[in-house]
Amino acid sequence: MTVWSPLAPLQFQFPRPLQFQFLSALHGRGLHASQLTHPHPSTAAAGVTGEMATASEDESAPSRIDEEDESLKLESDVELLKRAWQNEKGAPEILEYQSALVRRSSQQIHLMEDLIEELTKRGDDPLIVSIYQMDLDRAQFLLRSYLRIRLQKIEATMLHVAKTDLWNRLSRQEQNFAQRCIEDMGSHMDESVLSKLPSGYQSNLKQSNASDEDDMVPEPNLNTFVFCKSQNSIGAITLDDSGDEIVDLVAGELYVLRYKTIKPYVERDYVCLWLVKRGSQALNCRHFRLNSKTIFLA
Amino acid sequence: MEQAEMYGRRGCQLVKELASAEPGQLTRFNDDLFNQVIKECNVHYSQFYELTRKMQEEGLDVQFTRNADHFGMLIHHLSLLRNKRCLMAYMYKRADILRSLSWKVGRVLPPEIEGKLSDIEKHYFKNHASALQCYMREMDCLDLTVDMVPPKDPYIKVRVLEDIGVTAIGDKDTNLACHSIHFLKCTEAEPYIMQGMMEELVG
Repeated sequence: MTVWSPLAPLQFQFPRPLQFQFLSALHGRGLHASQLTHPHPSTAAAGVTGEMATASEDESAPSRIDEEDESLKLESDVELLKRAWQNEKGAPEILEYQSALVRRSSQQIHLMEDLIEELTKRGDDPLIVSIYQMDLDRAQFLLRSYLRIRLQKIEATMLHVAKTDLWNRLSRQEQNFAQRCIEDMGSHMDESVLSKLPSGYQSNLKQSNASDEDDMVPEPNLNTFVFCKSQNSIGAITLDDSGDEIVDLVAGELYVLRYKTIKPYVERDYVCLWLVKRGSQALNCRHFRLNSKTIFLA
Repeated sequence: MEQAEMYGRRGCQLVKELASAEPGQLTRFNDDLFNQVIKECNVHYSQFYELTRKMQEEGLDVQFTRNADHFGMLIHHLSLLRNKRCLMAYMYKRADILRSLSWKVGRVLPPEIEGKLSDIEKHYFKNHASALQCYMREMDCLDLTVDMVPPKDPYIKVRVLEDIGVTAIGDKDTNLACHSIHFLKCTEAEPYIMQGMMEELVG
């Protein structure tokens, strides 16, 4: 992972020019997330122009080398956010809320907004500023999309989420939102349909009083196929309950599997769900024959 | 000779109406058909009740006896459930479309859509929009309705379709007159594009 140094702005390469890399550089400059909560505008700005580079280096010289090594091994928050976003988008059910990650990301985004404002006021090279701006836009998109996908999943399966332990995967604000959604939907159904139906058929959850359980609550389909990749080799996992079919998960390979089989691995972050554009690298992925149904990747 | 009325036909019509509409588009709320289905449900229930009473008068065990009346009751019960399902599906699918609209247009519905809704649906839309606003406020005023597509360029060229007048865009006031072309930031132009007041100029 290249840690792009913002010290020499005219020398930066464009390995993946629209990747969100400079925040990882901030990470590498010894600015840990904890320090970002109390932003020091002078050090952040200094990092860009390179004028006070020596000053910032001297600040925490002995520990800086360790921190840089550490940050080279750790992933930047943006990569974590991107992975969380991919998983959330690919999974049929709602996943655990990454509260610390969201908090850190929004802090970093605020920091970058202030930085860009300062740079524009100072009249810095507009190309540099617009590149920072684009990077910031992408990070903001990731964060907003992550929260949006979760809200839309809650809207779609609000009753199911409230009934099961998926409720604990929501943040406090999401729980409030879900509660309001349920109340709104409940009163909407009541006023329009349920109150006009005969008694015994007026429940939102049960078809009628004759039903034993809440049979009107739709559940997300955990058997949908998802694309996934794992960073490390996990080894054999069984594809169905009888244990007949086994698949070996090798690091870096793209697989198409039912979500149910890899659910525990996704929850523990061993496996990452992948979003595949139609007609692209999907053809390099392994297909699995399950119950004689092949998956056609168009 | 009168043609026998098929149970659940009107419910089926309601659902077919939903299915034949363009995806994501709402048709006018079919008050008439809706009320007819509700009336049918109540008719089923009263007949169900009649049969129960008849069986009780004959001294038969309502739950376990299997005679013609029992099966009549079963048919009425199942038809009621089917009608309930059709009605709920109709309302729920429309509510679904309303929810996705509230993501796109915010709190104010365009008049051509508002005309197609029943009063209860308008009320639901308002409630949902305010629930969303509440959540966004709780998350430090992070606006989730912008940035719906991944950003490609920070600035886009737009043509104004409706006369909006002088509006504050960013720091400065811009005159958004009809047919004028502007070079705006993506996030600033997005709400107008979503509402159809501006269009993006490509190429």
